[in-house]
Amino acid sequence: MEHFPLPDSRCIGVFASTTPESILTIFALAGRRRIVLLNPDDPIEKLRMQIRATHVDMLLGDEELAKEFEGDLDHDHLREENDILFFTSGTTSKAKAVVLTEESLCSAAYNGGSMLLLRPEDRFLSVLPLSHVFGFVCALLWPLSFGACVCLGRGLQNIFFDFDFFRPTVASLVPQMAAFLCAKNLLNEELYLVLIGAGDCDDSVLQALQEKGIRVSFGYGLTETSSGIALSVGMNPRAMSICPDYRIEIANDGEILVHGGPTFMKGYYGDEINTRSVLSKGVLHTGDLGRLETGLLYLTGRKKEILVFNDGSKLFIPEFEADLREYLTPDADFAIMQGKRGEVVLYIHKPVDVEKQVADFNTHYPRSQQITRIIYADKPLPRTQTNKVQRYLINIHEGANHES
Amino acid sequence: MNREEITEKIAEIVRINMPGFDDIELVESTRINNEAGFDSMTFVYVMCKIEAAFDISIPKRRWEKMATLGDVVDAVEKELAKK
Repeated sequence: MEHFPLPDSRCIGVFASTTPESILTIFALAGRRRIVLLNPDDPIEKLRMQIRATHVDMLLGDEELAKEFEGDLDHDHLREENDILFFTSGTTSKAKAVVLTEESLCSAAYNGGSMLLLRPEDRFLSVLPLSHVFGFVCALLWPLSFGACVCLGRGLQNIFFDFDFFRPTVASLVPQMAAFLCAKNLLNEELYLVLIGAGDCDDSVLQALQEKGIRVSFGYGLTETSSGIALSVGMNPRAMSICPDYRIEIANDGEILVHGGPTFMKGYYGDEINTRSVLSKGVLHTGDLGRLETGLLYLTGRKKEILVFNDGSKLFIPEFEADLREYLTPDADFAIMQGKRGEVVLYIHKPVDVEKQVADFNTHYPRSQQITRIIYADKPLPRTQTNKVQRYLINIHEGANHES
Repeated sequence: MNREEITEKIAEIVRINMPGFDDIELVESTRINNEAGFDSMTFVYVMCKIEAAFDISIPKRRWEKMATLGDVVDAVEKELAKK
């Protein structure tokens, strides 16, 4: 890597696809330049916001795609850090970059690897986006740390054929992928271990995987912790053991607090206030709810107003609603909800006939996060005295209101 | 192949690959989103089958903008015209 010609740029955005070129670029620059990992499949506007928010001055990876952002590069911003920036899930206007390092990412891979062992003869199929820490650590660094062969998936449109093509023994998946591949019987018989992260899986999927002789391990972690802080290693995938170097405490309100931290983020990029609100005195406030039983961690829900999708992505509702309000009217009376299928539902009292505005708004979001149902309420939304919407009083599953 | 035939063929591909759509009317105005059972994974799977059946490749950036079956028909028609 020392012969890799270093560009003059100091903050390099890399379109992180699962290709050897992309991975070599990241490894060659890590620790020598600040790099920002970008998902080339994200919508253009989302990428633009991320590039601007992190003051990227050069783009590597997909030359055609990079042309879209020539006017967005910042050649005047001073920076001397050599860290790695990952974006958390969130809305496009509030792009939140988490500052991690080579050390934190490698520590996370070794940390998880000490609990979930792989073999050098394993074939690991990497199909997750490398611009997310779960993909970068658990579908690349983890198998590499054991000397296992990493098979690079050929893009989302080939995931249905990659298992038959590569015949992997291990893979990391998000719940949606696991459910779909299992239902379509696309998993190969050599596969013996699947690590599932970024969300829970239906019992039926877990049972189907187990019937195929595939062991399922759940992982729990955050971008802010460089990936996993707990992993299930026993018979119950939902009972997770805490990774070494961490101590978990459950706060009075049920929030999971993490003590420790060689893998903790340095902070949110350019956002000290938010950094201090989640990380102080070596304790990370996860925003997730859980319980500890005989030293094992069970997730029970979320403290923050977040929508979680089965493809692993998340939406912070207040930011999403603030974005949407700009497409409606300042006094719009609405709430964003999640339907039974995981779809995003707009429950709105006023204004009415907002299909066009919603269609425009949707173009800025990936398919899984687009509003796909609008319910027009016939009366104002229930609110607290502080004007906060009382979501628990809204039933989007009833057919009492007019739907579009 | 005219537009009607393309629509019919796409509907057939959806029905073959997604058993849950047997009883659903598949016309140009049919929405293809989570609510209709097309989560992002299902959508990609069906699009791959459509590309293979018509022997075309639809730019992935266009996929995100498809909201109805008619949008898919538009894209297929456009790519077929290039052949």
